[in-house]
Amino acid sequence: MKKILKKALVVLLGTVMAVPVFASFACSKRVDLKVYNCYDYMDETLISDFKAYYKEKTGKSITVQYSCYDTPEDLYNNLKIKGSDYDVVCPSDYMIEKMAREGMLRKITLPEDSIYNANVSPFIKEKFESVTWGDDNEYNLSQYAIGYMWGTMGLCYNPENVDGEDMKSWSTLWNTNASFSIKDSVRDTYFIGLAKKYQTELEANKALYESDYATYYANLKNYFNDTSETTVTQMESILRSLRTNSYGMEVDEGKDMIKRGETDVYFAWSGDAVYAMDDAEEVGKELMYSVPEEGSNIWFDGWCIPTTAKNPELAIEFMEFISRPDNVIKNMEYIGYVSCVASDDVFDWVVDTYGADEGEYEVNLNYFFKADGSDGDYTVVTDTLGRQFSAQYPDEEVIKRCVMMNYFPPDANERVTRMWIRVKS
Amino acid sequence: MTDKTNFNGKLKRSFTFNRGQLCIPYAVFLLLFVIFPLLVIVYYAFTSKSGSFGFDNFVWFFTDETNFAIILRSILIGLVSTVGCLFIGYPVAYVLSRIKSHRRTILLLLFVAPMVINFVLRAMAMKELLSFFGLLGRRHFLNTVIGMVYDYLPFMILPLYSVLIKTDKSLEEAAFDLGAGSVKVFTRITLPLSIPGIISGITMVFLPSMTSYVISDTYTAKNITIIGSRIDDLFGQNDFNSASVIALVLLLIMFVTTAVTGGFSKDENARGVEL
Repeated sequence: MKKILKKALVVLLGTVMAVPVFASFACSKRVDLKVYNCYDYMDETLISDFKAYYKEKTGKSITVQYSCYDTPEDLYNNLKIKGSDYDVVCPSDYMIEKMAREGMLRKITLPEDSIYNANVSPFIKEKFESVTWGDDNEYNLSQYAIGYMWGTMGLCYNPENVDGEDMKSWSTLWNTNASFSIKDSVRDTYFIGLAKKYQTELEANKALYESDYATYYANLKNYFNDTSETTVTQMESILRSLRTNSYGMEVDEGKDMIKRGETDVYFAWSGDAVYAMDDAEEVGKELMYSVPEEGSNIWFDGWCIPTTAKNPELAIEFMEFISRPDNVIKNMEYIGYVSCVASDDVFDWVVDTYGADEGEYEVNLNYFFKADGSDGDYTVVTDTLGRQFSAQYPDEEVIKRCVMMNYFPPDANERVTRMWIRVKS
Repeated sequence: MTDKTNFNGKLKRSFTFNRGQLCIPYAVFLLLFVIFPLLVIVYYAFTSKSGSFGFDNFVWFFTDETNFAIILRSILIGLVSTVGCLFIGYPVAYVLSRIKSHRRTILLLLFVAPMVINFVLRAMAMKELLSFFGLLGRRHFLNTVIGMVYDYLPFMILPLYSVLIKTDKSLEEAAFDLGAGSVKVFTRITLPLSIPGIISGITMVFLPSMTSYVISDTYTAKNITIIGSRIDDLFGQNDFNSASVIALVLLLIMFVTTAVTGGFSKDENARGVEL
């Protein structure tokens, strides 16, 4: 009897250690919708707004779990390795393609009169449809994702210490004395490395912009999507010298570095540049944003439904809610990025925020706001260029010089990432 | 009366555990959070990305020269930081151990206090200081070492202190009586007696300062890559296999260091502290 009691106690003591571990698996609360988004990438009050909206619409109360990831790779690992059951996730363009190719995403079909389809920018729609794969290009991004935010990549700089003319080319970074930060993110830094490698070709290509835009754009796409073995080998020394000449690498500290004056140039995504410009105004700095002229990257993030989702209907409901123009504006004001939604309400907001009655510049945004066949004119009159507005809504001429960087197939990805960690040694 | 004693005795006996049984909670913890993850690392190290068994990852490790550059750099940072900690920490521990008792406790607490402050806060504060002294963005190696010393100094002071406080003062007094000068007393009596403390201090500072990549990343804007950052990079790229190989090699280095500094010897060492 004693022995049994003793053993029982020992086992008890042992299991007490393990209880908290298993408890977290066993008694997880029932959640109706699991949203997985990038950090600082949504006004989180929209989540409670959504719950209230759904309650009003259907009379049902729902619980929503909102969680965040650091990098698209974290998101991928979570779904691929752990098989997490998120209902709606928000990866970047190349990651959507990767996940869709690997069968991790559900197809999304929204009716023509859905809020998203009625309001999405035709420009975005076309970009999503342009990324295709499979036999006869039967698959494209728009089958798997609805657009969330988009933007460009460029140089955010302090005009007091840096000449704006120098910021019109990526290759400046290899010989400038200015202090600049680069991204500790292989795809982004690889992209500007390609701009250096193809410096002469890109310079020559500029001439085609006026005369033969189709060829110009095709060339641009080829240069900025080159992951061949010889190129990757050459890129190692190109990126190494970029790193040596830089102040350092960062993922999200860049905005602070330029605000504090550690750096004068910040290689940034447009939305972060907007944030940096807002932030630096507090210390009396007027930062500028430039998209280099030899060409840059245009990127998109979209909402997708993983195949492991438990509640795809509610996920669609959420996507529609987040695409509603009033919510879009609220969200944009909060995060500084630009929504893929382009309704008249959004345009009015742009004019209210950035327009000036007697401004000296006219920025044509028809490419983004004008639906096919409509006869509206979407021109904003403003008195400053190169600041928040230009970063958010670039002129069409800038956009026509931006290409997407496609997903790297597994072997190319392996080559590039291996090269990158060597650069970082 | 007798009955009651008897009953108490029975009760006592039935609730008395032998040593093995008392270890079970720890064993469970060890199994779940140390042994099991270690086996996972070994599994990944010996499998390729496609899941087949082999030595591909080791071949990569030994053929990519940047791995060695990074490991050497990490060891160098570890060594310099340890020497720095010893240089600053020994005098402090010595002085503390010679102070009158009640004040000593308070002073010791003051030295330990930085350990209690949140790591991220300390890192941010240190960055501001480095920037103030004009070191940030210029002296990457120095900044890393300053960061490591700042962070791991208490781990050097505590073991040294706990050994120095226990040394028999009469030995020093005897040496003085026999005519030795204070330098000689220190080199012949105090220092040799404090060697177990020095050894524990070294093991506790050297290994973490070799791998704490948050410090090198934060203070040098990733200009200095140490072995921890490389493992992190590989994990970030889903390359668990290569990362595991480096983790194993690192484990090996740790075993060697511990063996060299006498961690496996039966001498009493001083990883604890008595206030």
